[in-house]
Order: sequence, then structure tokens, then C-alpha cells
Amino acid sequence: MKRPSMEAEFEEYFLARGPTLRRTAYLVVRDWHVADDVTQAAMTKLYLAWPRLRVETIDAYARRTVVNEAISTARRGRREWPTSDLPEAGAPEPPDVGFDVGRALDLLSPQQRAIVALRFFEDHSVAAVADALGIAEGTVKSQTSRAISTLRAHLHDLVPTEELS
Amino acid sequence: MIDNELQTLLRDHVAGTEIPFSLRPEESVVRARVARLRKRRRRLAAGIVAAVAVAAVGAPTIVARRADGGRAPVGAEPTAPATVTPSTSGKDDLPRHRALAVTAEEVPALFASLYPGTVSETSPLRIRALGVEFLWNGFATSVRWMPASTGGLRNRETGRMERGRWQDAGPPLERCQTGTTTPARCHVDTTGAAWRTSLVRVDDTALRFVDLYTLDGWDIRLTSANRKDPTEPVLSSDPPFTAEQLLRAARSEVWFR
Repeated sequence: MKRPSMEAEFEEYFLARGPTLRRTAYLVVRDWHVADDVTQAAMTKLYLAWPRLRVETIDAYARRTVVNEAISTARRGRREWPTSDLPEAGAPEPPDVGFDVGRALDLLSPQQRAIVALRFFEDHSVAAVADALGIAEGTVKSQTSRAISTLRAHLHDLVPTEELS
Repeated sequence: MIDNELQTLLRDHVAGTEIPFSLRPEESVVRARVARLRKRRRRLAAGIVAAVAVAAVGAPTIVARRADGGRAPVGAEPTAPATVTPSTSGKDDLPRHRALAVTAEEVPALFASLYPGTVSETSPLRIRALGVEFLWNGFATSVRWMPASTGGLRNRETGRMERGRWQDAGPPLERCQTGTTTPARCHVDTTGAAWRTSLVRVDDTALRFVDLYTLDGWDIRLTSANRKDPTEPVLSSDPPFTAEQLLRAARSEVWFR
């Protein structure tokens, strides 16, 4: 039967690749629970498209869907349950330790975070990143350069020793 | 090399903050099916509207038989349907969609009123769409309500679900069975609600799920883990709550108006 087979294939893919895709989503949206929502939504779109995808294009499609969903979510802001009862002041800020990747990432735009995640966390080529984000390779390079400059300014231990290719 | 250094920093950061992966493929499958169903219904509705428009143009004096046997021009009594289609699904008999009565901040304490224990918020309190995660005696616990149809409307002022087109989402057993690859795990209770339970083990982490699909259109999920988070040691081999206890909490009326 076609359907159970498709579901089984999808479930296998979901469980194998879901954690990695969620990590990428997290680096863009900067919240694990929002990353959960993003990944689940992207996987739903992947399942809808599954019958017309070729095996060799599934990864690229999944990556593109997750990253674009994450960027859209990050731009929209977090989907939280609105309430009028939250305390005025949030949790106290952590002490300034001067070196924190998470805080440095927050300084980047969602698209720059996506580029950093795909280029440096998932280790994809410029061409693959451009394909995933639907932008030109030149844009990937220029945005990478800007992101690195920002990160470098806030991550003092990150000393450049080689120019970006 | 900057690439390698940045890669190491990113991977360390992710590894240091990551929470257990608890997403389930069944949920995406269900959402996809609902999306397909809604798309089909939209197309069908569009077709009906188009057909009615054509009929209205061609026959402006159409009359329709009313349920009481009388006859009246269509449009003379907008509240009376032109034709009455017998309900085959029993949807007309379904109870009104209850509205949630709690805010996210109230959930941990209310849960503790059902099962006494020390509840504390995660830091910060993790509020997800229509759900909340908290610690019960140090164990990660969560309660989440999802309207069966994503077409639900939420009051911006109160944060409560006011109404939703949940009737479109199908009866509880159907919703339960479409959410799993093993439909036999779904059961129906005396209220007409469907439910299923599962226990997922990954290494030494145990996570128990209870899913309740109510007759009035709520999909409720409670989870209970055997630890606080992946950076902390496990507190017990099993989650503190049994499936029966979580199911009882899911069925509780304390959450609703």
C-alpha cells in the first residue's frame, strides 16, 4: 500500500533528520520551543510535498522549508500566549561575561543567523546556502562577511586567521 | 581557522542549551491531513458558491421547501435554510466548544491542586502556544491544549480560545487515529472522548505522553518526564505520573469555564 509506505519513509526521515533541522531552526529563532514549533510546521509542509519529491532533493527541500519557516517566525516575533498578568520586570539579566555566542547571535538579523547556521553549523557550501534561502551567492558572501564582523566584535576569542573563501 | 572556531562555538552553544527532541512525526502527518481536508473543503465550498451564483442568476424565483412543509421564497427568511440536509455525522448534537478558563501562569498551581506537589516555573516560564511547561517536584511536566481545528479564534485581551471551527476537524476517534500509525492504540471513553498514551525512552530519558481528543473539539496533551532537563541527572527510571493520572488531569474540568 502506498500510503503506509510513504508514512513509514517520512517517519524514518523525521526521526533521523528532525533533530539536526531543529538545531538549525534554533540558531535562527533562538528559542528551543519556538524551534520545535518551526520544525513541526516545516515537517508538515515536507509531508505534504513528500509524494512529489525525489530522494535526492528531500534534504534540500527540508532545509529550505525549515530555514524559511524559521526566518519568517523570527521576523514575526515569538508566538506566545498573550497575558496581562506577566510581571513587569523579567528575569534578571545574566552577568556580562563578555563572551556568549547566544547573545552575539541575537545581534544578527534572522537571515544572517540562517546563513551562519547553514554555513558554519551545518557546513554547507555558499551555493547550497543560496539555494536554501533563495538568494544570490553574492548575497550569501556579503551577509556572511557582515555577520562575521558583528560576531567578531562581540566574541573576542574568535580571532580571524584566514580570509573567507 | 575562523570557520572551524565558529563551528566549534556554535556546536558548543547548541549542545549546552539543547532540550530533548520530543517532536513526533505523527503530529506532522495529522496536520498535513487536516490541511488537505480544509483545502478540499475550501474548493468544494467555492464550487458550491459558484453553482449557487449561477443558479441565482438563472432562476431568481426559486422556492424551497421548508422543514414545516410550507413554501417561501429563498431569501425571504435568511435564517431558514433553503434545504435541510440531514446530519449524518451528528455534528449538530456536539456540545459547545468550551473556552479555556486559565492563563499560563495559573496552570502549574492548578495542576498541583490535582496532584499535590511542589511546582516551580522553568526559568523563564516556558509558554508555548496554548500550553505551558513547568516543574512538578523537579520533574519536567507540560500541559497543552490545541483546538482541533487551527481555525480557532483567540481573544487578544484574555488569551483564551473563544471559538473555533472545530466541527470541521472530525470526531474524536478519527482525530486520534489519524494522529498515530497504530490506530488500535486509540480508545473511546464514556464521554465520547478518544485517548491514547505512549512512553518514549531515549537513552535514560523517559517521556510519557497522554493525548485526549474531546468531543467538543480540544486536543489536549500532557507530558511527564523523568528528569528536569538533559543537563540534569535523571530523577527516577520512570516519569512520576502514570498514564491514568495524566489522563485524569487531561479530563479535569478545572481548565475550562
